[in-house]
Amino acid sequence: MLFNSQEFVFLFLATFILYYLPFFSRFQVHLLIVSSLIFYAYSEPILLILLLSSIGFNTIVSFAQRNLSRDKAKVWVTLGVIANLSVILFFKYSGMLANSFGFAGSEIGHFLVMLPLPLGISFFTFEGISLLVDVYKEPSENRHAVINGNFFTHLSNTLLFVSFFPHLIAGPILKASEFYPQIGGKEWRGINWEKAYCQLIVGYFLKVVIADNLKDNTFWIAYPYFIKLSSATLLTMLGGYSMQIFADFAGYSLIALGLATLLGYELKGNFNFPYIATSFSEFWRRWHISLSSFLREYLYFPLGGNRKGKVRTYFNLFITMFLGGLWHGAAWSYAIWGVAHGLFLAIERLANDYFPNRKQIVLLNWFVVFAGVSLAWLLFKLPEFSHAIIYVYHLFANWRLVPDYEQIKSISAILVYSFPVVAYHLQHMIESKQHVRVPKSVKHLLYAAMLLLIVINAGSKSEFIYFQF
Amino acid sequence: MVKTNLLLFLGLFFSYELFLRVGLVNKDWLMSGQSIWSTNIIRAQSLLYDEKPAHYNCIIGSSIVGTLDKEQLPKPLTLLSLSGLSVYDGLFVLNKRDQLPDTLFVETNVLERSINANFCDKIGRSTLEVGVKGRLLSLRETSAPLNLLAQVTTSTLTYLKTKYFKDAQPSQGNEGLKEFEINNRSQTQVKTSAHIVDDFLDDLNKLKKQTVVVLFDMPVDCRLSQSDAYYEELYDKARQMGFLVVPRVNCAKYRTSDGIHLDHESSKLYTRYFVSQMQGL
Repeated sequence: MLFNSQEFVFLFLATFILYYLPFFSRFQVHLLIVSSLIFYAYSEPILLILLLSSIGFNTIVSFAQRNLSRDKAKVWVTLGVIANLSVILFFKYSGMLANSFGFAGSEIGHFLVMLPLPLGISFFTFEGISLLVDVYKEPSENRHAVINGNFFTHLSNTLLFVSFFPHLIAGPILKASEFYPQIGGKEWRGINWEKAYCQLIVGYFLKVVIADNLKDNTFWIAYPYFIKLSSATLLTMLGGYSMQIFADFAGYSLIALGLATLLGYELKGNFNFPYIATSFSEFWRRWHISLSSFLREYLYFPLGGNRKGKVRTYFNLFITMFLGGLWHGAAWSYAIWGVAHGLFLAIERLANDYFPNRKQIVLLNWFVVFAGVSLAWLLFKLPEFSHAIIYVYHLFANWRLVPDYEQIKSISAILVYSFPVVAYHLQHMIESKQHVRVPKSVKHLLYAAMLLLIVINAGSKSEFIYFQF
Repeated sequence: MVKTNLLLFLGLFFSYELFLRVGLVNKDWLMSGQSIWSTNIIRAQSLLYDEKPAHYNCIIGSSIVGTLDKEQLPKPLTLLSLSGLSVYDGLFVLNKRDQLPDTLFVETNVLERSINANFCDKIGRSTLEVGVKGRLLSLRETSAPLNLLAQVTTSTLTYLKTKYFKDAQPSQGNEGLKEFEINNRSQTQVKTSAHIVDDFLDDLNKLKKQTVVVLFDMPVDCRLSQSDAYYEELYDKARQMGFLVVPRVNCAKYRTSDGIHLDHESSKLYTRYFVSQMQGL
């Protein structure tokens, strides 16, 4: 179900009204679980089997750790993490491996290639891992922060944690230690209306006005159609796609946050104005924060982080980004995308060691980061690596060509629809660096204008890009 | 904050409506879309709200009919060519109109394409929704403020281009892509099944009492054309149900730019034939 569909609006309104009725106050958690399962299984009920199995398994393993010694708990958590990774490996990557290692033609290979990718699998298995590791990491006397009450209470809490519909399909990836303590009775008067309103308006604006309109104009980043386009068009489309992917994903995350706020839950922000980053490491602290902090906490640090010498640090960065890339999709292009970011981070670290003053060239640093990130996004749009290379080649080779009328139309639309994203980042930069606050009246006008554009300027409805992951 | 903001939104909405009604916006900007999707919606809404002749004829189809030479087509005639969409979307739009055309020409090239749910949502599924969009200019695709802004930018950039880049090399044509497109399309082409044909003719049958329905097939590259047997069956069934048919032409005599869209010369040639057939009906 899409956040921008009529079915979702109906489901959410029904849930929201029932949720705050006094009669339902005892059943709020159950109501949210039922709504979340309807939301998830609306078009394919069979998907529930895997989701519920995963939740059941993680509930049992995490509950079993409750009274175990550290050593025994370690065995349980290790087995649990391996099981979660096996599920994602089987459903998401076995087809890719079958294709890559040449056994796709066999009966088993064909079966693996044809396996459907369950919606949101990357998100709910990571949350399962987060639950197991967070319970393990807590000293045994503190584990009740996550495992509260008897098995059935823990089961319903875990059901809500994993399936909570605002974040289920495309994140943000929740941490068990942050979400479980919030589970409980919520009251109507406790709703932070202003916060929810702002999150929803900006979220829907980014998705339905910006991303959905940009999508119709970056459409031509498709092989071989782009080869006849001028460099100006190719460059604008590349920048436009950067804006589109941000607006799409940040929009989704903000809608998720807004919906959760209305239901009395606080989810951590997933984006913090990533395109003002002047270094790649800063970019990753601002982009898809829940994934990057997950990878940092559950992969990079356990590998040794930057505590085991320079060579090992570069290796750790590389492997973390490689796996982070593969997390996005079962195709080598995503792995290459991850490796590219791993390289960017490693080169940046090296450059910082040799040229400590380079941080002062802010504009150049910003440009390098934005250009690198945008070029890497090409692999999301053109999963065939060779096509991405051909695109970059024509970006430079077609400089003599002048855009025709149709291309000028696309360029204009991309410029106009990208502008709000640029302004959104600039406003934040000015506010945070110059300590200037946008007057309240101007903010009111901006929110009203965004609402107006949601009503009269929405693009063609589309799925969120991150749904495929 | 929320209440104030909602009031401010209403203020902005009605101010914008007033702005459009006063006619401060260049009418040319209101007629073209910034993308294929936007252009489709504008064409459909224009048919629904702007053109209200008592008697008119209409051609519906995909982008393939968009290549017909408009200059040659007799008036009053509305050409509803929807890129990437199908005749079913065109029929959806016509069914939302109070009055059907006297004669309805229906392209039969891509019957296997199904109706586009997003398109129908945007046009409006209920009579109320279509009616409200008819009354409020600001809810129409042509009035989307950021699209208008993009139109202004397009005009400015086009002006700058003609002023400063007169002698520059234009972008390459489609010639290099033609073979790729034909191969690609022939690999992904779905043969239209008998039940699709039956459903399509049933849909048209509902209109038979109110309009004269004429089926026609635009020539495409011969490698992409469906079999003669398929067309014989389709047109036989159509004739038996009382529909008129424009006889097919020999695809070998026509050239396309990408396998399915006629090039300029062939478009003129086919339109000439099509108009002669229209007059003979």
